[in-house]
Amino acid sequence: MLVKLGYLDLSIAWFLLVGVTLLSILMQLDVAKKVLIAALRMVLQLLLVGQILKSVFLLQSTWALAGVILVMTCFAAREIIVRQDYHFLKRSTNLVGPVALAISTLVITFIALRLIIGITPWYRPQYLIPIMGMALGNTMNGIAIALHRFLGQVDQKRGEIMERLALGETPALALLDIRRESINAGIIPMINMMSVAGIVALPGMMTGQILSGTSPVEAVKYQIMIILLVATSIGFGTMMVIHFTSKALFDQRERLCWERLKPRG
Amino acid sequence: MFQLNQLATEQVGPCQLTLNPGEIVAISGASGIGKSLLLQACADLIPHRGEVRLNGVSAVDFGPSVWRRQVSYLGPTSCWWRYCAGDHFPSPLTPQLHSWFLQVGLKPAILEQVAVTLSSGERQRLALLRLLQQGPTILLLDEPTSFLDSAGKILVEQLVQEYLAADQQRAAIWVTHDLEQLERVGDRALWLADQLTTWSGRGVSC
Repeated sequence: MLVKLGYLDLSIAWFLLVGVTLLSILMQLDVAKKVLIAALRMVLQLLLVGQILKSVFLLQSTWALAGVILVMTCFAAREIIVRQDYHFLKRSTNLVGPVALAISTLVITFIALRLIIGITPWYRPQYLIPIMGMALGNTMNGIAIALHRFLGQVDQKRGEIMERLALGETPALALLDIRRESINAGIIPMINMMSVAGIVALPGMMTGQILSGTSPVEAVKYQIMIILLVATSIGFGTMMVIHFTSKALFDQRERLCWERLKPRG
Repeated sequence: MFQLNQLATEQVGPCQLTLNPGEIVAISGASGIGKSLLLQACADLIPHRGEVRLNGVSAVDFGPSVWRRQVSYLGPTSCWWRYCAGDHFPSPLTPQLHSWFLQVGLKPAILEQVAVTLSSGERQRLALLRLLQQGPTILLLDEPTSFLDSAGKILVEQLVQEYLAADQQRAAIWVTHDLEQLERVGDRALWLADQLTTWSGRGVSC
């Protein structure tokens, strides 16, 4: 069984962080405030989420579970939007990223719980929330990075796109290089993670299961499933967001409507 | 055969113009009056009112990319999205492209050159050849010699004239600020202000 941590035990870890922060003040690194605020946020958020999850697990209420899922998805969706340097004048186009995120992660989580793990009911919170959380976090990153790269490149290469259209290329062809580059940027963290998984880095979920006493062989199987599903979700989500955002940049006569895009600020 | 019917964008027009086969219509006008926009509207690259017809068929009855291969716009500056200049051309060059290269004073060895190192004059001539190799019927040339010296200008003018002469269907609109060029290449010369009017000869301030 897992050794329980008391709050006193946690304070030892706190003292270590405060110590290194003091050192940074001595070295005039100007990071102390940022580090402490971020650490405080992390502690409060996690303590809160621990309490919330505990009550959701106890209640076994579908509504409470749906609420948690909704809040998680909304925060991830918001994160995608605020990380962009450009936005569309038409509101609904900005929602392409969040919608791609929601569809991608919900489908993947459902498949994992229903078809692969096969628990009943498939939405058991102890399974649903962690798996959905991992899918959301990673897919959110992938989509945000891909979209950020895509919109930046489109703005920067406006002249090139116009010229390729003038030469009679279709929008799909004129954007091909940019689409490839942005989807690549979105999935590279996942590819890198898969390449070193188990050798350099032990993935967090597997580590957690091993700490709580699960046999490493079983933990590894779960981890493999999660990584494969999350990679699928990232791939599907980035493709979806780039596809529909590309469409939104052209009108029915295949003209580049770059005035639909505005830099933030 | 090529017709602009009440063609207008937010900034320019409405313009009325009919190109006859083989003809070059040269257009000049003050900077910022909308000459480029007019040409881009002809190629259906920007939103516009009115209509453009090729041999009686309206642009909207063509697929956009099919139309742009027939009615092709060439801007004064160009982008090169592959690494080398040659990556934008068939390899090896077709005999016709090869002779065009020599005709405008470009050595085929320039194809080995990294695209970002091309001079503006080289880019301008290469961009014209990149367009011509697709065999467009109507050329919409937007200051196509603005980075060339006078000898280079003559070479490009001759190439375009020969290109048009090779097929009876072809014609061109040529936008220029160079009034000598206007008179040299234009079978007709027009002046764009609010609308297209006949160019009344030298002496009009611009």
